[in-house]
Amino acid sequence: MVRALDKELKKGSTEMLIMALVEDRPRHGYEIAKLIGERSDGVLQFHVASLYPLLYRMEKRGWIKGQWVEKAGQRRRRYYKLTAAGQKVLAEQRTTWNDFFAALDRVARITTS
Amino acid sequence: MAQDWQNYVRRHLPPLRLGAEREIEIVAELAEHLEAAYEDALAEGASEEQANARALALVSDWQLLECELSRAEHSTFAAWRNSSDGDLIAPSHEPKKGAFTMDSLFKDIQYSLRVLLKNPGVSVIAVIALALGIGANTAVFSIVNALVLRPLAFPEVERIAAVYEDVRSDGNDRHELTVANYLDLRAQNQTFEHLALYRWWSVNLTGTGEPERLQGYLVTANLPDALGMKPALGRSFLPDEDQAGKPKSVILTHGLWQRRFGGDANIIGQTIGLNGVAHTIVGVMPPEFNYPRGAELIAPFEFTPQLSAGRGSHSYLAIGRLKPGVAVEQAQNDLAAIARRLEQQYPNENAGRGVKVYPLLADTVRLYKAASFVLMAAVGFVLLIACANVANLLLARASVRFKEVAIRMAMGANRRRIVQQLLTESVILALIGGVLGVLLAIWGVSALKAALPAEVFQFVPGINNLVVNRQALWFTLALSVLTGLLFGITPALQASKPDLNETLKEGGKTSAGGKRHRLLSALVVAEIALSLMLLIGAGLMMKGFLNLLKANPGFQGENVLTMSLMLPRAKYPEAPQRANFYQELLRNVSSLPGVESAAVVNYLPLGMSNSSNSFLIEGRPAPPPGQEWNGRYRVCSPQYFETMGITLLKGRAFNEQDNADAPRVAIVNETLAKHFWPAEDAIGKRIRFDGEPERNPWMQIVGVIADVHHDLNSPMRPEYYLPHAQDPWNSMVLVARTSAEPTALTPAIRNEVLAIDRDQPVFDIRTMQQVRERATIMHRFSAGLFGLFAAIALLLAAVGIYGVMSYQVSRRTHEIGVRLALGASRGNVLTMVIRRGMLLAVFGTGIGLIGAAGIAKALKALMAELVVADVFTFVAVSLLLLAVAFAACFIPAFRATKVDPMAALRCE
Repeated sequence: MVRALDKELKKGSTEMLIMALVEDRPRHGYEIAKLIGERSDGVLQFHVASLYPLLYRMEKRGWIKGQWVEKAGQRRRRYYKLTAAGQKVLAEQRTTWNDFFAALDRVARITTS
Repeated sequence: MAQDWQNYVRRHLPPLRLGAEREIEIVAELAEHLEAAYEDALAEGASEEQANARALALVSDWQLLECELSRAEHSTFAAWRNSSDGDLIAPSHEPKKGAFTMDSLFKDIQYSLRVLLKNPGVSVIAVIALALGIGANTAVFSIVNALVLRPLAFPEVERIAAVYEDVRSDGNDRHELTVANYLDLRAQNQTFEHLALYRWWSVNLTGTGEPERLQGYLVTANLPDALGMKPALGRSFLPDEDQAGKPKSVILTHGLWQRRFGGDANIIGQTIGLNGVAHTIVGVMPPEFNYPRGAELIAPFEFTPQLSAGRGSHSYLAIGRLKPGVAVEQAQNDLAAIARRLEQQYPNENAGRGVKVYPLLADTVRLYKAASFVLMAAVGFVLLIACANVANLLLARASVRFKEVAIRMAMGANRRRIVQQLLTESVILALIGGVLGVLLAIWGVSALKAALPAEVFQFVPGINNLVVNRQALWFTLALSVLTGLLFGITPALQASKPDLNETLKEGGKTSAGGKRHRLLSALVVAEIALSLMLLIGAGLMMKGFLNLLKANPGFQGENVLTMSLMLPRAKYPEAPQRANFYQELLRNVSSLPGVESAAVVNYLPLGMSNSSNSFLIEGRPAPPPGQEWNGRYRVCSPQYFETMGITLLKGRAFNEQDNADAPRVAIVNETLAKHFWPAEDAIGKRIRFDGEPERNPWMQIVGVIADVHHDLNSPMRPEYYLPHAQDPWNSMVLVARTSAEPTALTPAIRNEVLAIDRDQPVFDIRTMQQVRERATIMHRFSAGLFGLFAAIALLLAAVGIYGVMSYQVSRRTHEIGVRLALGASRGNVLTMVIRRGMLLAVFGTGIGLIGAAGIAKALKALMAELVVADVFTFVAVSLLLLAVAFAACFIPAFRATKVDPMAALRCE
């Protein structure tokens, strides 16, 4: 199941995760991968070979925007931030997933909290 | 020791073929990622070596990374939206495990439509192939349904049987009966509810507008009962209406009533003249009454004592309705026993003559049955080829869809569920093809009907019902579903068992390799074999048809106009009247400007009517009963051979002196002369009709003519000609050789007829060319259809080979790249790919040749002129197919030589 979830996340819900992570503030690729791993307690793992192609695709679609930033005392890094279009997509996806989870919960009582 | 991460990435990541700037950016970003991981590890207390290893482990497969990056960079938004994986995420979509419900079916249909729309190219090609295959089958099914399966619309048609005389010496078990034998059979049998008799009756209709010649039948009063038909208007014949001295009555068919009488509801009781005798119309048959063949009206016999006693004239046909529960075999035994008694009772007339009973339906369709089934087989082949083609396309696509299937299975869909979905897709394809196919069939059938001459509709039973009807639609529906399952099952089973672990691994291969290739190859071989069989069949039939056209018919048909006349016996009862009428007509017609010569004959060559009679030879003992010498005989006027361009080999033609008062003369054909006088001269010998000597005097042979083909499919038979003046038939065909376009003379000749008798119609006005064309219509029809199907098959096979070779080349890009990198030349690659394709083609051709030999034998039954062992056709058609296969291989092979070895080695 983990493998299937992994696959699915990469293909669909990952976009939402990434957008959610860069919603508040711009983040670089390594940070995004790390946060997903940490916040999911290691259930969701990201390979480099999946992450960057996905970031580039999302950038092409205009959902996120990447920018090279050189902060004092740090290396030059590429930060991604959410665009206006991305905000709209994120809101839509949140609604969809919300409905979906609500439905799952009603049927299967999956909420752990 | 700290890595130079940028350098490390640059060394490991293969070139992305992007702009230099973008490439630098990506390398920098990846390097930054690895470095951040390295530093994190150090911060967590790992040693430098451990940290290094952890960072390096983040990218295990640089090839994969390069491929994914290239794809992402080259992708467009639309392409991403359309990638089939894009749909799989919809969470509510995944069906319950293995449950087949209307809901799941509906989802499958929705999903299938989306998948099909996403690959419009594949879908369109598949639908076109299927529409051609299914359409051809629907059209041919409609033909077979109308002509073979249900040509007769009589109640309980299986109880109706045709009864013939079985002339054992002739091997002819479909001979006409005599009236007296019929009456005996009717009186003595235990198995028939009604046994009816009828004979062809050519009638001139007068007394109501223009005179017209009609196709009628004289029948026993019980014929409508035997068929189970009642008139839609008026009454049937009364039981004794066929006895002598009864008022003359007639029943019209629906067609004649509509055409000639405008569907007049008050027609019953009106009187019309038939051959100069007044008949009262007592009934009108419903539209489905179409028996005997081509009937426009039926009238009762008049069984005078003389007619009832006749055992000499074999010109009557019989049908009967069996008693309920009686099988045809029982009726056969019953009537055969009666026939044996009659043989003993009347040895002179009945020796060697038995009885044969056939089911009417089988008897009616026997002429079309073989042709129909050959056509069915031919279109069946076309459909099989189309199926193989579509299966190829789907198999090739199946490998692309491996990932999709693997994901769905990982998500919990079981294999049955996946197969169900994939089959739904192929059945939907087939149904779309079926709908288009029905449209094609409707168009094809109406085009066919428009091309057929009018008499085909009158004389081919059931052809009036030739439409794409509800049965055809059911047939097409069933065929489409079956087709969808047939071409869908293999790809579905193949696609539904991917190796999950292998496929889901990033960069895992997208196909299952060897087994699929073998399947594809087998399909191509089958396609080529089937196409070759069809093509050779078509080639042989076309050639047979050309032979038929080229064959010297024994006459010269150019610029000859023909038209039929029938003098009513009531108006021309005496022989001299009939002889005088035709002599006067020929004198007048011959003197018309534009007419080179004119003559009359009772039956035209290739006119599909013949007359034969047994004869005796002077000085030879009469052959024993049952082994009579038989010959066709014809009656003609003096100028006939000259007008028709028939060669006189010996002696003389008839002349004006061969009249009723002169000694009787005859002219025989070469076959008769050689058969009976192989070593002698036939001229001067005398023959006469078998029968009473007073009424059948000796006739001296005065000439021998070259053989004339009177029909196309049977061997030459002995023939003898008599002068019309000495045997004045009333029903004759006028032939006129003209100096210009023959049909231009039709009005002038018709006027000459009306000038002698203004009530006398002429009919069947045709040029000799048209007569000949009509005689070959079925052959032309079969050869044409076969050719069309073969052309479709060739096209489909070419597409199939091309598709499979393209697919294999694309699968082997990597291998080809390796070969090129290792120093193979472009020529080597070209040869390699073509060799692979041609190997399949040659293999298929071999199998096809064996099958074609069998087909040739089956076709021989349809067309006597067909040469079974026609090496030229076999070789030429095989070469044609191989050439097409070569072209279909060459394009993908040429593309293979354009493979960039570096690119091929990197990806995949």
